[in-house]
Amino acid sequence: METFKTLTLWFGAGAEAAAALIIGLATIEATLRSLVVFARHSSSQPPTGRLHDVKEEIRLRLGRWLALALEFLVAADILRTSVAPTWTEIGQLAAIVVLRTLLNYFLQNEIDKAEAREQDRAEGKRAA
Amino acid sequence: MPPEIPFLPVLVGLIEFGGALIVVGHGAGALVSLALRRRSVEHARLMVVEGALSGLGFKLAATLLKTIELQSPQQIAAFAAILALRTFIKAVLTRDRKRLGIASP
Repeated sequence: METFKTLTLWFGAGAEAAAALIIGLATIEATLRSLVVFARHSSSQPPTGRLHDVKEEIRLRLGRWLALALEFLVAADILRTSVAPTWTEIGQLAAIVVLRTLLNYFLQNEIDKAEAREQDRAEGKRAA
Repeated sequence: MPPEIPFLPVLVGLIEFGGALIVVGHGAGALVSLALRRRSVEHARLMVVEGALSGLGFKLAATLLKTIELQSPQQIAAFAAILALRTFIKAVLTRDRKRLGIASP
């Protein structure tokens, strides 16, 4: 029985490590992309809508990675709760699940809006 | 349990710093656009708000990392608060861009 507990805890720690790794890499990626955008656009004068769209895309990407990291946290918490089911732990699990649902909901909204915009733009070009 | 990830505090600090840089950078860019490029006050304002939004994205990442580290109810509440803030600022930015008629938000 003890080995199962230890194994579960190890898996939980692994899930948390995965989440931390994802967050770290995602922020690095966002920073690098932002720097590239900044370098490319700092010369052009009028801040067109395109600059905003590109920035928006970077934000969306970061948001999606964060959502993925949050899923790993849910997994880690599930594992932890299965080993030591105190009410505090279960409460934490519930809270993280709620947060993950909220984040995904808002992210999905933003993604849908961005895609609708892309659609409009493509159709506008075709009609013109 | 989480202390086995030794680089966590460093990573949190770095990401928070990055977020702060983004906010400051956008603020400076707004001032520059006002003074040197003679853009409107609305444009400058929008740039600052965009800085806040992008900065909050990084703060969200840092808070998530802290949640992995601390796992206290307060930390989870902090994450929820930052998420709510970011969502609100995004809505404000979208509405302002629409109102100003700049390329659809």
